[in-house]
Amino acid sequence: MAKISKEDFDKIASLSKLSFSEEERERFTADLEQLTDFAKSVNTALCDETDAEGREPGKAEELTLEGLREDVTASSLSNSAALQNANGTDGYFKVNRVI
Amino acid sequence: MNTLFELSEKLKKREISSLELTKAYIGRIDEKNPLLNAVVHKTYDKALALAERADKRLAEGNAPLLCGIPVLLKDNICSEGDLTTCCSKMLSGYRPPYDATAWKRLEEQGMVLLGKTNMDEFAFGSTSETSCYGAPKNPVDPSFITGGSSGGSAAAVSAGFAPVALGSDTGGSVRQPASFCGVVGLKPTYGAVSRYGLIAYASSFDQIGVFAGSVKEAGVLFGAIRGTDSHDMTTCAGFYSAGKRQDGELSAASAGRRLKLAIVRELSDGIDEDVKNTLERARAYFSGTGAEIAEVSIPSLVSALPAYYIIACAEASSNLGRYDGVRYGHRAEGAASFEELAVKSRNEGFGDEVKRRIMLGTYVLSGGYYDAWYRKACEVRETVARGFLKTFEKYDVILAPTSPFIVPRFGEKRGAADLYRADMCTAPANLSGLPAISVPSGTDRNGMPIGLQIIGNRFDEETVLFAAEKLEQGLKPQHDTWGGYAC
Repeated sequence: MAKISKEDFDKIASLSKLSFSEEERERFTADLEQLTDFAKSVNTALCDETDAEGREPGKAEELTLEGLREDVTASSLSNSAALQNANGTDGYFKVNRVI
Repeated sequence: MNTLFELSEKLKKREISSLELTKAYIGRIDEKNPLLNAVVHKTYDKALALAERADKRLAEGNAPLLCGIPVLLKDNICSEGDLTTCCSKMLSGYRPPYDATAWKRLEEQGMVLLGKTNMDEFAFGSTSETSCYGAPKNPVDPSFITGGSSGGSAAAVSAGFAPVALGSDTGGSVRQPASFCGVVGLKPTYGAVSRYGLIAYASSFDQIGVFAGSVKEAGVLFGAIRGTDSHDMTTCAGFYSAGKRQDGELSAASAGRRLKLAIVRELSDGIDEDVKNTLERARAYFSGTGAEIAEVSIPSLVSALPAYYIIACAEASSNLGRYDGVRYGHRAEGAASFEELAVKSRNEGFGDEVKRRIMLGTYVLSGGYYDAWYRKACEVRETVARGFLKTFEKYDVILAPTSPFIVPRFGEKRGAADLYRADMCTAPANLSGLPAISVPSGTDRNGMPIGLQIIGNRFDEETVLFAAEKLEQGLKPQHDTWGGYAC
């Protein structure tokens, strides 16, 4: 089973904007190891090297631009509607001071 | 138990008003929901107002088929001003300032919104047990789970709380609970129904689906919500060829055709004995109707489920990045910095399963792991999709189990990876964007429902519905307590 080191776990938690207690870290590390073990067949899965048209995997057809709409101004949410679910607003979204 | 069609007929003949019908369903919910916990937010004031409006339309004549009919929405489908919380503490109290396109289309038809249904938190799960409001219970027998993540919608339709309901299906979240609760659940082709206003889990898989008592009713509801939407650039109804109908009615060419069905070995390996027997009965039934049925193999499916979880969690970790306590959602008290505000709000607002999937998703996307996990999973996805397309060159539809195991009881021990295996037969359709439907087809040793799945080619709901109706005619158990008034 793939081991997830303490450093790796902390790095993932930091990127995820989550933090864990010591007890949670142990529990979540065990779960993550179990899940990566469950999913590991993907690492070695045999995939088609090219598709029917000879393209490499992940190289999908180039986007056709016909479906794009004109760039026109449309109505959007009002200021009050956009703010109605935010806590502690005075007509704008509030965050802690950053500079 | 009245079907959508019978109710519509009564409404049009003015034998009953939408207001009376709505009040009858409200009475039913108030009586049975304390036991079943299928509905988590009630929108009765809106329902009564919509019912009055529907009655006016019905009185004027020429009202659409769905006018005046009550409906329930999963708690991740937005309706303006109504609580929509994804059954998470994170979105407790959230009232969207806009309507999801799917609901808007139903409202334009004159449907009446009764409320929002229970689900796994942010739709992460296949049991509905991660809901912050507690799990819904299965109306067929409340000591069993409903499945999930749209467990509340499945239970609600099964219990007769509404004739139809909407859910969402990312890896099987409509079909599996439909199977467990003895109702029909349709996941349309990716791109058939707008995702605008559906709170995102994994954007390349998520699709709004429908629950109904029968295949025909599911087809009608699908016909009402499908179509292009400028708010969702992945909608592409243009692929539906002219003359093909998606409203449950079959074109003359379809009605008389000889079906060609495939049973895919990898989707039926290692399944429960009762599920296997039901599948065998379906095979025999279809053979008896003159259909061509053969066993095929799509070898890449062996890695389909892991690939699904890797991509779904990767997308979820990105989609849920928006919850930082600033614009909406839970905001932690006393944070000294923006970073601390985000971390504290997320720690307090998210449950364990959500944290687990965000962590797994971040892991597979992070430097050093991306190529071995995420990129490889995307390659598996393309190979699987190609395997399906090849199968559909020879066969019309695939017949498969919906769940590899029978309905579990509450309290049965299950590990994290065991739970993920619940999606073994359903997630491949999401991985490839295919339409699929679960139809009640048998009973297990505990007397609980077993559903079977019909999977079709992209944008070929017509053939999927056609085959599903055949299955329904042949195998649907004539069960007193399913599809309404079960408990």
